[in-house]
Amino acid sequence: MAGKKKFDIFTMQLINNFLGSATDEMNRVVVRTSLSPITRDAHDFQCGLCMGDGEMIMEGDGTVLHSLVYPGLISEWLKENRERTFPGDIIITNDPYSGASHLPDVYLYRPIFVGDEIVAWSVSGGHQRDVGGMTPGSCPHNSTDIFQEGLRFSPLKLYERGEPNETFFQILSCNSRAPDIVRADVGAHCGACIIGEQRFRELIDEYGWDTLKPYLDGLMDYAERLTRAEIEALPDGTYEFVDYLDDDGNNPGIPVPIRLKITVEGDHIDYDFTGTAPQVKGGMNNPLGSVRSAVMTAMRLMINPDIPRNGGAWRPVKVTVPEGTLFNPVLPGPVASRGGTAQRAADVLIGCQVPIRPEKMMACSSGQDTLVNIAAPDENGDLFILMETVFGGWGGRLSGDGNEICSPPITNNSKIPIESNENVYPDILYGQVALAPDTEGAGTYRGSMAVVREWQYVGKDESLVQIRVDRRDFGPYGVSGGHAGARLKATVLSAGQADRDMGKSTFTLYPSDSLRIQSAGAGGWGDPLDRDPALVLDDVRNEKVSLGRARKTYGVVIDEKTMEVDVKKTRSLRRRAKGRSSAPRRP
Amino acid sequence: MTSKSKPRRSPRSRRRRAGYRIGVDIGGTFTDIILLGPGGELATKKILSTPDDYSRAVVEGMMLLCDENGIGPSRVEQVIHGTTVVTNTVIELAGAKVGLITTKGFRDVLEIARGRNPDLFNLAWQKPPPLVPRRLRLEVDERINGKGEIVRPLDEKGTKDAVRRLLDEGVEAIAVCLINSPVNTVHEKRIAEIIRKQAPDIHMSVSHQVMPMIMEYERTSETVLNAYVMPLATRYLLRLESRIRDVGFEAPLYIMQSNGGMIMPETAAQRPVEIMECGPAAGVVGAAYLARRQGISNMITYDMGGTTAKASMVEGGRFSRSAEYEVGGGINQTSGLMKGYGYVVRVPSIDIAEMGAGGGSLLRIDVGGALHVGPESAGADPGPVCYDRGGTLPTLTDADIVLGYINPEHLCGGDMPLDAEKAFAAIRDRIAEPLGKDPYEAAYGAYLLANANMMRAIRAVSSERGRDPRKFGLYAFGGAGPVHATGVAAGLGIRTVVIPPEPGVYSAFGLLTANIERHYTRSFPHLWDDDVLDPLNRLFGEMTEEAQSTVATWGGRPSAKPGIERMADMEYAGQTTRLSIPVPNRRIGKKSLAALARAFEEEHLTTYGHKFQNHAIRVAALRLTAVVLSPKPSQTKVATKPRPARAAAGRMRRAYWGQEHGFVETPVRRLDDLGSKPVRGPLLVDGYDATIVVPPGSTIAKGEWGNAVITIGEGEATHGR
Repeated sequence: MAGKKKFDIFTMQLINNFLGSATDEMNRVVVRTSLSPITRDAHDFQCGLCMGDGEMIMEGDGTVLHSLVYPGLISEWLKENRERTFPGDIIITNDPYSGASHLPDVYLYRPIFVGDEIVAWSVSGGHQRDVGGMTPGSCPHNSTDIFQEGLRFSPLKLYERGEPNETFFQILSCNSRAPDIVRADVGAHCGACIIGEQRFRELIDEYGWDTLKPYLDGLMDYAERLTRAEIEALPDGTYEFVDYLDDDGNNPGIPVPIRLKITVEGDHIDYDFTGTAPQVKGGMNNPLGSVRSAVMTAMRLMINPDIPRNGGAWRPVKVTVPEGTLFNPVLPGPVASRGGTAQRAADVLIGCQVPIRPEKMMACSSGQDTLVNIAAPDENGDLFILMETVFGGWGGRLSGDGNEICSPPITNNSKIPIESNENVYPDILYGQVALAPDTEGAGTYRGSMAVVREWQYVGKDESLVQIRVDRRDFGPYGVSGGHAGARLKATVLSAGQADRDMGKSTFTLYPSDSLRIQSAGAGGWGDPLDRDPALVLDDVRNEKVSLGRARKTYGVVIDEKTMEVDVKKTRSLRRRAKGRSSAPRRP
Repeated sequence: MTSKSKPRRSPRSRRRRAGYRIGVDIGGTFTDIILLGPGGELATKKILSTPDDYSRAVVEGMMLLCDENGIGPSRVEQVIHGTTVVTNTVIELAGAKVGLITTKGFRDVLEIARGRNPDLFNLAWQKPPPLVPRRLRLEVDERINGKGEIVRPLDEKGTKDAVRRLLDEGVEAIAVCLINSPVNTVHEKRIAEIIRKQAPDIHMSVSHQVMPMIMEYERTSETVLNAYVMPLATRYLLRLESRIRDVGFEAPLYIMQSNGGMIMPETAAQRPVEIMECGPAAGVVGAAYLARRQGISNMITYDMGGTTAKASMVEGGRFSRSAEYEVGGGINQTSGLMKGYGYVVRVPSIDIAEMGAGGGSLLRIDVGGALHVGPESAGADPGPVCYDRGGTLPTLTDADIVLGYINPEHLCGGDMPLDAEKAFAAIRDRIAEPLGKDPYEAAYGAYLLANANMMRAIRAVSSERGRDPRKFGLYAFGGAGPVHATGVAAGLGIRTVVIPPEPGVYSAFGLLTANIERHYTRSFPHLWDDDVLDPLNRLFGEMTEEAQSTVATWGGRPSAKPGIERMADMEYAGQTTRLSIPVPNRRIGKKSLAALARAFEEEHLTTYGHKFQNHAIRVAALRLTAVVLSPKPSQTKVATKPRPARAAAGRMRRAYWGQEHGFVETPVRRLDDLGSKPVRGPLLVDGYDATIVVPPGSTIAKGEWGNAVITIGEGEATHGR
């Protein structure tokens, strides 16, 4: 190890701890100063600190789907712009074709200099309320090219030597339906970048860069070493899995396959998406940066959580995605709805990893397959945009039932309080927030129930609604004989008319109409006929599972009067049922 | 619960002669009792808690302490009690069978919760189970919108049926939480009446009374939690009061709240959710008081015990309040984003960040050969290896023993001898050898890492508010606080460390410095413009009236007029994180309105580093605190109690101070030996239940009030980040 002093593992840990507390602080700045619920309450953003070349040395506690975007953005920036990068700069971009994800995801990165050398970057960014384009919220599913999706800006300087780029701020404001909010939220990320730099400087001041650098390199080597040791312990082999999106956003009824082949060999692991659908003609394409993030998140689920969260852990991992495909689109491919695709990527990744490390995986989660945007004029005639994601819960696991309603690991968002929304958007009245009975993927360990969320438009005008939903055709898969969860349902309810089933669509809600979304249920793990009858009884008593379903699916006979399990009848019913083939196949 | 008509104590004249005051703090393992005499003389007692009936140890300890000091129970004029009994109920999931009544369509709000997974890469993580199972969460048809308008009227028949069903199920308490009830309370009030009529004696927790703020999950969670612990808290508090009366104490009993004020037991029994975090709060209150008396107005309190370290910020003599914390979910995380470990509570409480790093924290080496301190703990049983009670896994205390910081013969004044050899062997075999280090270096590494964990907690409380910890002093207590305080302070750039007398029972002392306080919060969503003036003045008027009429009956001092503090929770339109801005205690006019807007913007700038130009400001809630000042110790004198002669004055102990200094034969003093003239470290100061560690380069002197004051040397090794 270079440097005067011997490399000390304690010092390395102390530095790692300090980096963690710096990103904690960056995250807090964003949450506290943001004006949009998607950032403030749902935490759809990520902060971090990167080395001079972009490799991440500390990932924040935000949404991990953003993490791996930064290294690519920074290394691309440096290729052309190293000489014109100065202290006090902040670079900003949302361009998927420069390494970002979809247009509402805006990323900021600030160089940290020692002398003339860029030694590190302080980074922060995430989902913005609106950056223009064909639909409020800038997440259309039915766009046919990127130019319809909003304002796109390749990496440029938001600040140069500490001076704001007012021209750009004006362009951004002019092109957003929520200029004040976007401006404030971009400001929040600037604040985080600045705090990150300050904290990193403290570290430089304390140790001196020449001493610090080997420790930072050491931290990444250390994470790499640990990760390799963990991968080494995984069973070598090739593992394959496929799952589907319902459609590409523009062509309902035509499923889009996502194929993955994982190869574990010695101390490295390859994720190969060859065979996944070609680039599609709707908004469901998913740029490479967020595919990488999804892979890393999934890989991390298999390994020891003590491993520091830095780029070292990413080194033994190779990701292969052919160009011109769903996961690596080329200009002018539309990408606005890539969130749903990233979710499916996560499902495929976890499904493919089940045989590799079953005790650390789960059956398919209900996922976060819904994005809802409701836009309408408020009482002053100004447009309001309500944006929400809907997620269900976790799939069954060897350690027990899936967590009832819990963010899937890939996104880790939070629910937005309905009372906050009704206060800010008085034209929206929520009809329900509830669990939907008989929707769980049955199993020895069952999946989560589906969640129902219902919005009623009670304004006087009309509201433009756009929903991105999936899992209407393919329910979340079960594992080892566990059943798939119930499929997602999106319904428009209006008085005097039949309920309308909706797919990915943009439509109008008139006064008193409601939109109801029932997420998918999560998949089950293991044969439901092996489920502990006491647990089935508990679900029945809690009105999560009906008596009929307890009998038919779980083979548990419950006496309606005493509400007790009839042990004898259950035993014989289960024996008979076991004779037949148990788990229905996934479609 | 109903205000069960217990005869209110007649106001007694307590002025006849200066009396004694007792503070009792129940922790997980020990019950600490402190007696404060009229001249400031302090006596303390630490006895094992009695989990089968916690009130037993309380009464025994109080009697013992009075006997030892020759005080009759009748000479005690005030007993103040802080307890973890209520919190333990939640941690052990041992609360009451509760039924919940809620708005049609929303019974699963409680179970859905926020939905975030706090344990990012762990698919085996278990979400905490809802405290009320789904079948006991019943819906009634009604709906109030965000403006407070009734969209659907209350279905009275359905309500009666629901109550009947819950009673048939045998619930012990009923919680009521309707959507938007803080904006319009009419339906909740009506449901409460219906319940009262059908079940006059049942415990009842109604959301607009428990947490009158919008955010349906948080309010439901807190209302349910309140109901969940109410039957047990009521039984415990009533039993405690009758027990202390039985043995001759006539003094009024007060209960400490999480917000740092004390309250009558009857009130605490109705709102047990407000006393959950009272133990840590008491320490902060005590520290703030003593520091203020010495002219230190900005400081960070640092309370390190057996399983956790807690930090809190006191600025300008005021505590920082937290809007929310989680109960029963293990150790609080500090990043602010990782939520969902436990049950959410939003009562006003002192903001305390907690890390799983205490004396009992286990040391462990991970797969990559890195050392970790905590968050797992050896607890009190078996405890650290050096306790010699069967523990084999090394802990932080064992490391501190190996380093020579803790006197193995002197814990609890020698009442509890420690086995230093066993500690050394455990550190050597389980930590040093696998790391390829010598045992002292390994122990020192553990010491540094533990300090670093705590620095992260302290940064969390200070940076959350945009404050720079270097501008604060560190006030350290708890059994392990004085051992680690200097290292923590140096790492944060803090120059002054103050350690109070009897640091190991400091929370009990803190109880004696608390005031009687009642906190009121009302939801008040409104634009901060001229139209806000009338409703604002009106609501503050109502709150003041309510506070005065309630508080006036407390404390056997009906003449005492409460002091009133008022705050407005303000935000920029569109935000949901609020800043509490003090509001002057008079009618607010246009001028004050503008001044308050400026105060908000300044606070926003300090806290978040920026303010907006011409952005609308809103108010979300009004807060009011009624305070009745309580007598305070005006001086303290320690050691009224005879100390064992084994105290180590004049001796030396071999201690290890890191690679730079290595081993140093370090002088050992007693606090009493110190004078006001600073003495240079390295130095160890052995006390009754804690050792103060003064590293090389720092100095220590005796301050006022029996405090020890340490000045961290300039340019001193920061002991790592």
